[in-house]
Amino acid sequence: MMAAAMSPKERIEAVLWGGRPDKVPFAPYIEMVPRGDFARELRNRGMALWTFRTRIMRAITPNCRAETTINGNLCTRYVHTPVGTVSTVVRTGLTRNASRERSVMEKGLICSPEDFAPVIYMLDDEQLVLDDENYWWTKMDLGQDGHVRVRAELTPPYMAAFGYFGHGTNHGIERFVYAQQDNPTEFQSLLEAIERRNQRALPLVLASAADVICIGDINGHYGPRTYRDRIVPWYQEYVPQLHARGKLVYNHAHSSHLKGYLDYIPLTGLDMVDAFTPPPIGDLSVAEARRAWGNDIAIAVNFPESIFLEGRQATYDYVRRIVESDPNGRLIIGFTEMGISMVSDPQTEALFKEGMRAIMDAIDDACGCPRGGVA
Amino acid sequence: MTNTPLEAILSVLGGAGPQRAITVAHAENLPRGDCERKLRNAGLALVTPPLAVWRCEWPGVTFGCSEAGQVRTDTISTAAGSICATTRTQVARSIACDLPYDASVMRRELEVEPWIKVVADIAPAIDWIDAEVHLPDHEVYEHARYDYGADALLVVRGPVSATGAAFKLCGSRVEIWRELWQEAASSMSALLSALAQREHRKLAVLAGCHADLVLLGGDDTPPVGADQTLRRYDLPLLQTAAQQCAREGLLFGLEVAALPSELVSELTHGAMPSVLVVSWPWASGLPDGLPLWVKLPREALAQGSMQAQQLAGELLRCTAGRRLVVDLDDAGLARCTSPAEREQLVTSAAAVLAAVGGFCAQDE
Repeated sequence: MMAAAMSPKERIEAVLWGGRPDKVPFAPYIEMVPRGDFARELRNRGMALWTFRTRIMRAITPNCRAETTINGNLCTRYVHTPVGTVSTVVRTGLTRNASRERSVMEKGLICSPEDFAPVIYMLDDEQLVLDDENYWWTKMDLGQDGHVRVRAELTPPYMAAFGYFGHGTNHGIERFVYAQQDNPTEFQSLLEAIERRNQRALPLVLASAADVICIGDINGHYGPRTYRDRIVPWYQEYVPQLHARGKLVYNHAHSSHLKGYLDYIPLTGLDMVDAFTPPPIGDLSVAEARRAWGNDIAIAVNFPESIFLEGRQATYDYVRRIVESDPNGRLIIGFTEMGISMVSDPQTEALFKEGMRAIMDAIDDACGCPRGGVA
Repeated sequence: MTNTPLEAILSVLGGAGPQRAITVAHAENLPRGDCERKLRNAGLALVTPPLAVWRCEWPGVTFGCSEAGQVRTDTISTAAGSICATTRTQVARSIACDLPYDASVMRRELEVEPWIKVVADIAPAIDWIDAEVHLPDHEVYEHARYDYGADALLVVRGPVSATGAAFKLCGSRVEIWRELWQEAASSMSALLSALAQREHRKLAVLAGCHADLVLLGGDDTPPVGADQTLRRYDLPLLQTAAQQCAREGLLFGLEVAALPSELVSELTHGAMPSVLVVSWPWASGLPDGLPLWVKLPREALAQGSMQAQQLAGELLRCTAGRRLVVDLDDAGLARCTSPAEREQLVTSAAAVLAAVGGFCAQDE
């Protein structure tokens, strides 16, 4: 590791673009660490703020009309199109979850064969416009304290299709599965509409200033063979085009079962795997992934927060083992979800703070950096 | 001696500690980043935007939305008819910008056409207001307390001025306001009455909250001709709210920038507010002795650090004897669009902070 102290931004950029950071960056999603005194303490020690949701385009559907009704804590949103109406139902007013949200979707857009046509109409009606001002300004605001990456409106069609059946709903996954068997023609038409949208979005992404771009995920809603057959070829078409414009492309691999995808991820050409959750939550360790992938793929770890329950020393030891298992690897440690920080009783708060401090201590010690230094 | 930002602000507002003045910024108007961290380490305290301790439902009301280009049209349909408002989205950051909590998504919107433009809009607006139900929901507040810890004052939104709320529904446009009063005075009175009742309903759910500060009033009111409505609808409402806060031992701030001085005197006569919230420069005639919470305008920092420092000095001189909170809320830190502008605003903010004072930071 280098001797001179880098800023949080420089550390992340060093990992992303093949340089050498002075220590492994600790970079939770900007949303995951509350903004108060504790976050200030961690940031003064060098914790980076890393964005995830910054977008570089906006979409409008000029020929569709949305309407919302609120009954109790159920919010129903209708989208009226010239070929029919579809709706989603969201339950609001809940206790906040690990992604800081207080709502959950209860019904997706596609629940019956008649719903395909309006959704396909919506997709084809969508006009995308490049709008990367938020990217520039967020970059300016964060300065040396963090890094901005963006979510592009590009997703492999099969992966994106699931979202229209109700991501997170009780029946979303079964509707997604049954629709492929019961309504193959409509399902294929949906995939084609999503791909037409991708084709409209690609030139905008290529023209945008954003250089670190999230495309798709590994969500565990379908298996490795499907991923190989339906997802990998799409990446193989799109990723080289983005690389040719100097973009770094990554996915959000939040499935706990990455081992099955181990051999297929390098085939995608992706530069980074984000939300990589090692055991005991996930089934793939950083060392195993590094052995399989070499150093071409950066690994952004979603720290398995259940380790916090085992206490400070266990957390410290766990982090040291990860860092020391990947001595020259392109590694970032962070949080992409954080259930513990959403619970506000004193015991959980103590657990959260103790764990976060242990992570930073372990990184400093493992990388030979003084503890508690101001970034 | 060190103290936390929260302790420092409470010390100023409560008049209990030695601290006489403090500089604060609103969390949603202070972008997260290296400059923000340095200002906070140097003593800048945070305050939250006014949080609601309720969530709203509107049984029987339908909300619609459509977009064309950068213009969004929102529609509200009730049994009495429909009204719509149009908003320009993605406006230049220099015009409008606020930063929700995660700070990776900016909101840049500007109202183009208000909800109430003609007499026919008043009845559906009243239906909508009457339908509004407030359910106690202290979770946002409790999470904010946990998230911000000792670094921020948690402000809770109390009742707003009915006159100000009605004026806002008319887009804060004097010509619409005057025309509606000329054409349909009784309908306008009914609108104000509905708004005042809505704000009274909020008082019930406000009971029992543990806010650091409850904000009463509002920053918008018609420039002329509103004395009667303020006296009829707002004075009783704000007096009731102030008495409730006093009874429950809550600190409360009264936004007086938009109120005539006689009304302010009457309002402060009953239950004494913890602080009067004003914008710089304010009109004379504010009651003596009460702490002031002064919102600095954007120009205050945009002119450079020397001018900012002079302004801070002038503020301290003309508020001598009072406790003082200097608020950078409207100072434009969330609306700068170039590194040079950002540098200037941050340098000016640091100058104000140095002159006015902040919390006494630990060695950071």
